Amino acid sequence: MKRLVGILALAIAGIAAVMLAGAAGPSSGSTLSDSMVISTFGGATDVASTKYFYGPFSESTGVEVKMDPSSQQLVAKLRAAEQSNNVVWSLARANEEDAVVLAADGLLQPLPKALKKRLDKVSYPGAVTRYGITFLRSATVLLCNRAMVSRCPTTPREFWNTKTFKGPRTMFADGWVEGLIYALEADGVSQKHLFPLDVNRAFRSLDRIRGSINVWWANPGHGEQVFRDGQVAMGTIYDGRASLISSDNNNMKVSFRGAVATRELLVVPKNAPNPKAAWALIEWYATHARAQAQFTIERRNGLSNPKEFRYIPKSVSNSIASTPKNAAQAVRVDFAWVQKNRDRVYRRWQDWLTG
Amino acid sequence: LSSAVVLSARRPRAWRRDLGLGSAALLLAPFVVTLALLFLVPLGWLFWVSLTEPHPGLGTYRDLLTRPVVWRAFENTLLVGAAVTTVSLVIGAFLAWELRNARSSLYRGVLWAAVLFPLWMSAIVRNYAFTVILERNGVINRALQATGLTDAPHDLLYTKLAVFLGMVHSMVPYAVLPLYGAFVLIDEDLLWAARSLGASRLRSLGSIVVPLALPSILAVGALVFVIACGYYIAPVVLGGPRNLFVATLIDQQINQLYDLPGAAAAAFLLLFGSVLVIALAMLALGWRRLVAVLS
Repeated sequence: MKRLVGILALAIAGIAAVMLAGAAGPSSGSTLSDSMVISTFGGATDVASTKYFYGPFSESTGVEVKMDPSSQQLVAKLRAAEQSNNVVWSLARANEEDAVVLAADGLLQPLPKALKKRLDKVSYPGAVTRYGITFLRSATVLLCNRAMVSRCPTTPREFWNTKTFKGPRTMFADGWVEGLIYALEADGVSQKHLFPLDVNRAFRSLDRIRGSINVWWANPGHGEQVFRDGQVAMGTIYDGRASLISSDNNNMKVSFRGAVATRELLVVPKNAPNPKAAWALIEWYATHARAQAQFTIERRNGLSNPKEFRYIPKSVSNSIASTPKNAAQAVRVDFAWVQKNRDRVYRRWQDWLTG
Repeated sequence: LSSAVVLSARRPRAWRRDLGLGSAALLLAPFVVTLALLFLVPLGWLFWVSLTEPHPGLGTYRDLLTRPVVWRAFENTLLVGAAVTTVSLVIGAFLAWELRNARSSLYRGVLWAAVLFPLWMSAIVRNYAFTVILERNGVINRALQATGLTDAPHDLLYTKLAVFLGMVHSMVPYAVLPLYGAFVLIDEDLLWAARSLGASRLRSLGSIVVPLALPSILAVGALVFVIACGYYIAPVVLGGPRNLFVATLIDQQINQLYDLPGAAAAAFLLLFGSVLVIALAMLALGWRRLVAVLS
């Protein structure tokens, strides 16, 4: 009996110890100013980011950079972390859609004024916002496999025309903003008059295409795969993916007409540990045009420094949407509108998509 | 007489089947404490969140239930879950009965391998394998077109049927193992007795094996149904975004709408819904018979 009580006491003490350790959290062990954690999206972009930015930055400053693929759920995770006072990320890659939500919540640190000035000088106009700097630039473009169809659509309107342009199609399931914009463009709304989006008109237009979409891709990797496997002949996809696919397959044709530009920002959470390292990394990234060019050549995403295009071969820059020439054709999303309307319109999109 | 009394006083206490109340409570304590701290407390907290945020009351539940997409997700989840449970039970029962009766060890080995291999595969790999089979230029569509049965590919992937197939494949092992355990305990002489009294093969199976295995059948049904209702991978990989299930709905509630109370409420609706379905199924399938067998 005594032994039993002893074992039990040990077990309870063990459980309590584990729980206490959990409650204390990783912040207690990682406040060293010589290391930082970045929230990322994982995958090949992380590999390239380490090769061209985080790695060289670590070597020149001695700050160790670790990655944590949390950015897919950044808003939910950062809200929870701020609530429990347990923010582990010094820096985060955020889709602009998420960044405006986090900024409105007051969960991001504004860029220090002096730093913002320096960043503005080395970045393309609009690349630096109050809360961060442009990281990956991409755009939703039309991609078409000429081997599978007789005619390829080059505009949203042609993509909507299922009689003349026959073939299995794909669109992005969670891409409600891009979906609405494509629908309005297909219905004849000019780029200048898109925002504020006429949501009712957009859904009426979307109703006409829904039955012809064979695959709704769920994430960019899935989107790339359905094109490469020949499951679909045409559809929307990010320009970086489209560029990589078309450089492997000559039959793949990209159109930038009516493209919708989006981007990621590098942001610093409100109670981020080691924010100085985060600002330093942002500045290192912004001022290294050559490293940005190497990244862009490998991943086909434009970045913040316009000088990077000096080092990028024409074959690559022509194939991506963030090249100045192509960027002029792309729709720029009004994220203030998105932030105000996303709860209501996303719900409607979800109802529509599953209906 | 006096010597007998002395003898019994010296003898150690007789062995008893039941533990005393005290030691039973102590032995249970680690389990109860862990369950309470790591399961019941968070569950209660989640329920509290769904009832109090952003406003106290049932508003979060009302908001969910006014959205058609939520009803669709529940319909998909509960109907596909019920179909998966039924089919897995039938397939599982056949396999388990074969495993119990097979004389050839080679045959038994192959059967065991067929049952256990899917269980050892990663769930992601298992479900992605089905995409290769079902996609537009996948195995089935190519075979159909090669044989001239159809001239254009069918959209088999990203349908409820695809989710159903993927889930049945995952669930059959969960049905086979407990059923095998139940079938092994059934005395084969009972079946011979029934046959010798003139019962058909089907009749003897139906009136001997089914009642004896009923507790296991109901337990397996409940287990498979609960797992199927919470299944996330098959709906995502095989159902695609147009076929929303509750697990994916909860994911979108958290990661697209940033609505934690809504996600908590959806989780509780699923919990209540599946408990209700199990209770109804138990009532319909013979709660009385189950109680009779147990007592």
